[in-house]
Amino acid sequence: MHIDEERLLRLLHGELGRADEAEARAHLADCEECSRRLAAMTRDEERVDSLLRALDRPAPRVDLGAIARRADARRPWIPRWAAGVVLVLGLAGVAYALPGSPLPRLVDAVVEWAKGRRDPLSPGAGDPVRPNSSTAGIAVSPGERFTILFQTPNAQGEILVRLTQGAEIEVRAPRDVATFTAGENQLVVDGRGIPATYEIDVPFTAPRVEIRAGEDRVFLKEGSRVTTSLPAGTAPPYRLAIPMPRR
Amino acid sequence: MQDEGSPLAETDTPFSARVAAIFEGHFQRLFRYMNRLSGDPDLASDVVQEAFVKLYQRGSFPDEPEAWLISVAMNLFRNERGKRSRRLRLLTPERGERTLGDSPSSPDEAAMSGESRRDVRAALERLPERDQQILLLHGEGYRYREIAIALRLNEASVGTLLARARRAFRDAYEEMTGAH
Repeated sequence: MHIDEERLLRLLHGELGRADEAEARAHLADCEECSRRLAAMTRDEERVDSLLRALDRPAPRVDLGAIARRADARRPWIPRWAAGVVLVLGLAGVAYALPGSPLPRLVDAVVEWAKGRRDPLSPGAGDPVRPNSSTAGIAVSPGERFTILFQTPNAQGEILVRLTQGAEIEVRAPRDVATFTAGENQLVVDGRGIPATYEIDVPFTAPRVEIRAGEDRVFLKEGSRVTTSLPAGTAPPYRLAIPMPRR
Repeated sequence: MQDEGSPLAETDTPFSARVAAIFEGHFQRLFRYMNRLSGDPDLASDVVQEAFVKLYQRGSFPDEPEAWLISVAMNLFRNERGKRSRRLRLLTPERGERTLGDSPSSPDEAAMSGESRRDVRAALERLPERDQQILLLHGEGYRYREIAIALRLNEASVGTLLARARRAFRDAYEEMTGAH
């Protein structure tokens, strides 16, 4: 009785146990048919391997230290205090809801006070056109690194950058103010000379996102570190003026 | 500079040493496998690096590290492939926007992409994904046991599936090229 194909393949691949292999080799020593099949299988194996090698590309040079640093940079940054915040908010909610609590009146007073002031995000005279219901935009996966390039002087106004929990970078502009051209790891925003507010949502999890206006870098997020053209310590959202090109 | 107390700061721990060892012996093999499977060296590089990042983040060694890395890389590959295929999602229609899917090959890639590579790729893609994986993993020298764990198969069936995948690939290639 001859050796079946799977058993021959296991022999060829060194996947038979010691006893099974010895038995198979003893059979092959006396069986011309099985020896011929094994030889054909070996040739076939070499041919398939050779074909598959046509797909190979050189492996990149990767530093293990860089991988370790990336892992380190992504360690959870929401530590135990987050649980404390949730607890405090929960207690505040209970206190707010208790009959006779002074909190509702206090909250109302704060709201009224705030209404008397200008909404920091509302447009005033001469402000750039802001995205509203008539916006256009694009969402893009950040990948390992992503650059958003504003073509100046056509793109004018300001950029409002928010850090979000989302998975994609979202870029919005008032309709008919800008065009977006996507390339690998890059989005080019070209304006029409109309001052506008461009809104960009950047995921917290994006490894590296850079925003440039012409030759100027106005925003860089690398891991959890954010660098902007604003004074150090400025909290998000970041409102960044689009600089005009230097002469 | 890394924080004190970070597991990654302790470069002399057995964990770091083991990661270094498996990185040394396994990175290129896993890259070749992912590159053959995806046909996209950049994507392959990304997902393999990310798999090692996840191994670091895990902070402990899995029972079968090679199979674990393959499995993680495969999941990342599926996610990333899905993301890249819908890489640009318009928030609202916008004039002047282009999609990335049809971007031209680099000159280098164009020069390298001979008939042979295209035919091999096309033949491979005729196979079901699992057959492609088995064929390519074995082609990279992974043992039946590692293949079975990574692909969640019964180890006893790997040989049969591998034989079938090889035959299907060879037949597809010969059918396309007329080679015998």
